[in-house]
Amino acid sequence: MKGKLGMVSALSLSVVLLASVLTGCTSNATKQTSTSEKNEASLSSIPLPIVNKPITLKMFVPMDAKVAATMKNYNEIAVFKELEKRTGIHIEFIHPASMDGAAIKEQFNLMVASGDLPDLIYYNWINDYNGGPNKAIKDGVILPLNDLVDKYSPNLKAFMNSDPKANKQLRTDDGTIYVYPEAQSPNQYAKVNPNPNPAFQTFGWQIRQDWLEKLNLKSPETIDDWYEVLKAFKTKNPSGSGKNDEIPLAPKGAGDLQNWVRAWGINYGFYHDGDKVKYGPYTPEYKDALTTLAKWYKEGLIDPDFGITDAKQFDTKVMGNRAGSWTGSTSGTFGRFVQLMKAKDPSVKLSGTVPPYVKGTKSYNFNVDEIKVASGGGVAISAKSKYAKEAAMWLDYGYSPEGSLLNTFGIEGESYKMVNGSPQLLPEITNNPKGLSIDEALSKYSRGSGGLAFVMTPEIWQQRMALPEQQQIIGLWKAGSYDRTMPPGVTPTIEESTKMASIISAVNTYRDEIFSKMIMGQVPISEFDNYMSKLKGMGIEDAIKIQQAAYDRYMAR
Amino acid sequence: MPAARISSLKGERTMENMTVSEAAHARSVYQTKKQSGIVHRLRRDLYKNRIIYFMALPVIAYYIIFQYIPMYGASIAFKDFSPMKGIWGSTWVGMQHFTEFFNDVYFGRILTNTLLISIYNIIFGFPAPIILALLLNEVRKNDVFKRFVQSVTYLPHFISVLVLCGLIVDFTARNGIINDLLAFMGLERITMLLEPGLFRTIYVSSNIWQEVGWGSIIYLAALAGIDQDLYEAATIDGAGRFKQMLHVTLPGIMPTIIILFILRMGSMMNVGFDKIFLLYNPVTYETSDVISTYVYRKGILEANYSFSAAVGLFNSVINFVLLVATNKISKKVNETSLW
Repeated sequence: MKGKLGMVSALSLSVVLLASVLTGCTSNATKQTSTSEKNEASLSSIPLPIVNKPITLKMFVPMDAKVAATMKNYNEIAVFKELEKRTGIHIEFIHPASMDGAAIKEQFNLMVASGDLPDLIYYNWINDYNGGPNKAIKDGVILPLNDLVDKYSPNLKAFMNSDPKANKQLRTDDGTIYVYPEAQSPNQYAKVNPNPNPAFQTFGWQIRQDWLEKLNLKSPETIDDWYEVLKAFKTKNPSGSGKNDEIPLAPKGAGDLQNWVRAWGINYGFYHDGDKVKYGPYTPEYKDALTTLAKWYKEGLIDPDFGITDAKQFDTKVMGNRAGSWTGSTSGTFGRFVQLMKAKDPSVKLSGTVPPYVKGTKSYNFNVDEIKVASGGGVAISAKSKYAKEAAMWLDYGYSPEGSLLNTFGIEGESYKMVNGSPQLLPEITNNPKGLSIDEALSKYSRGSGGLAFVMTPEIWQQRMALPEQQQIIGLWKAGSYDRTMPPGVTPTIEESTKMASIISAVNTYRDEIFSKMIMGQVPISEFDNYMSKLKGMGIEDAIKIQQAAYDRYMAR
Repeated sequence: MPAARISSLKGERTMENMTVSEAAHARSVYQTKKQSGIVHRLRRDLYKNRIIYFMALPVIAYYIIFQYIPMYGASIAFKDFSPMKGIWGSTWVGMQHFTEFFNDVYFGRILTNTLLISIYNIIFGFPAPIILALLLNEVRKNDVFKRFVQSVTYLPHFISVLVLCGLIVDFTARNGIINDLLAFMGLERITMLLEPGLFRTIYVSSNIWQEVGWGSIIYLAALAGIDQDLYEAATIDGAGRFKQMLHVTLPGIMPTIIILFILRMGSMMNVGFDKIFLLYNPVTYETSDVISTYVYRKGILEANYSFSAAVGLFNSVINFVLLVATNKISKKVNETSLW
């Protein structure tokens, strides 16, 4: 009986307890570093080692699934051992227990509530911090980095100066720099890759090419094409199992199915149509999307379990030769399935399709066309760190040519070698003897598959996506127009952001619920007007206004 | 008589043969006596039983440190809590978070869901162990069978919620055992966890399955305490087995039932967070989203610490009111109560 008492209060109280035990002084550590170093001139390069006496910095960073496949801690990755050797700074990693988005937020928020902050924090400050990056600074969680970057981060400074777009994406409206980002340099990229438009395509539509060929169908483009294809997958037993157990469209959870609304030229969230910011699930097109998907569901074209399909079940469905099409990433989903399924059955062929669209309209792609810096994500320096200066230098090393190469390609002679002045991954990575995928093998040596703060050495892209199938789908996905994608780095003000967080939290809960219910037929499409007025009642129009203002400010930067 | 002697005497008697109402009576006697010259008595008592008080210290300290001191943190429900400013440093905002919660679009829904799940849990879940205990009690000859049933029914209690929910997910899946059964009977297969209408049924019935055996243990203990002579007398009076159960067995365990019921009411609003969290999804929010899951999403995922503290506090207040009210009613109707 006792144990059941106060679960709710226990939740809130545990937060409070942590806070009460650990609320240290909001000390002047930050001021100290900035005043005592006032006289030093700006660095022009990072001196190695950075510190003469070894120090340890703590870093909060969610673990990448590709790393978790073979390791338990980032310190097992060769790059961090090498960095420690070069800089004299040891990093103690704090990883959230799970890679699940909710679990990361949970651990981050509990950590902040406890007041016990590590020196470095990798987080998405725009999307996941309530109130955005400026609020995080105002709350005393992280430092504004302008001074630190100016003095101790010559390489990041040079990168930003060389690329006005990156400079814009990296700052908030008032010019504050808040993170060391994971960055790409399109200018450099163009130099080493034959494709002049550096499309960092990481996400899109995937299909069983061998099934299409077996049924004599061509790769679907419009929604009508898709209907034909899915119908054929459903009825003509392309898997040859004799049981008609195909799942023509197998989304990994409701989130994956939500991507389909893009075919109607809208995003399942904010996007812009010309200069106008819109919220996809609050547009008339959304009704058409739901109507079509509900029809597909009713005819058994969509996995009836889509709402509760987790990654594992999804894998089982694809690997079990039952799934016909799905959406996912280039390497984590597509590349992995290509390698795994081919090993099982060489006749399996996977491919991608262009982003679907309604006949007579344009195909839209809601990927970001060229990521200069990952949207809102990156490593911030905690306001409580005693080593802000050293941290700034350590992070900046990743933007220097040697640091970038080390972070991207790993250790020379172990994971890559130089051929004619350009790094090439070794067979250990590209054809791993233990059967690891390229990304998984690379993750043993570097963070070249992304997810930390440094500028990528551009040669990696082509080499990571080494499978011909991957090169092909990247080409297909690029067919969609990028016109409607929100640029990364749009930041509402603190007040706007807080207000929007509370509106959007209510709206999104309702949106997700109704999305699945209308498709499953639990709520009829005729209720759509009702749904729209309920969204309006929740304040969606205020949220759109806020986002519009932020977008306008961003464009005016 | 010194208070300590009364209390120790009380202790002995409750253990052995004192009914709960007698205990309550003794307690009230103890309270009236206590009021005269309390300081003097207390000092003498403290000295006299210093060893006993000393031994009680750790427990008292535990309650102060882990139950009472954290309560001060509940004050963030009335503040705009910012972790870096700390609890004291954060600014007061009065009832703002409560107003916000009462005006929240989901307020009605999560309150209804919390209440309904709890009420169903009580209506169906509370009598289940009593019925099982009564049934087992009727098995008089076959002791092996009785013990076997007891063991089988109380074992699920030891399964962790996580594993249990994994089982439920598998059983209710489209190709799970329940659907196999439905398909065998010619019915259509459904993904049960995606049906808002089935959520409460799944939740409550799996709760009963898990807890019925464990819950019945306490009633079986109470049943063992019933005077066998009463049955004999009832037989002589011509009562059959059913009548015996109705007029001897049930009244015999009534005090236990009432006390457990009052305790149950006190935690009425606390629907098990973990289990709902592991079983719900946006499709079933309509019936499954409860206060505790809402607090989790708002407080931990969206970092609205103050808001969720306010919701949690609201929840605790309702629990407290329910506990006191049930206790009062029961005192009037049955003369059995917690205090």
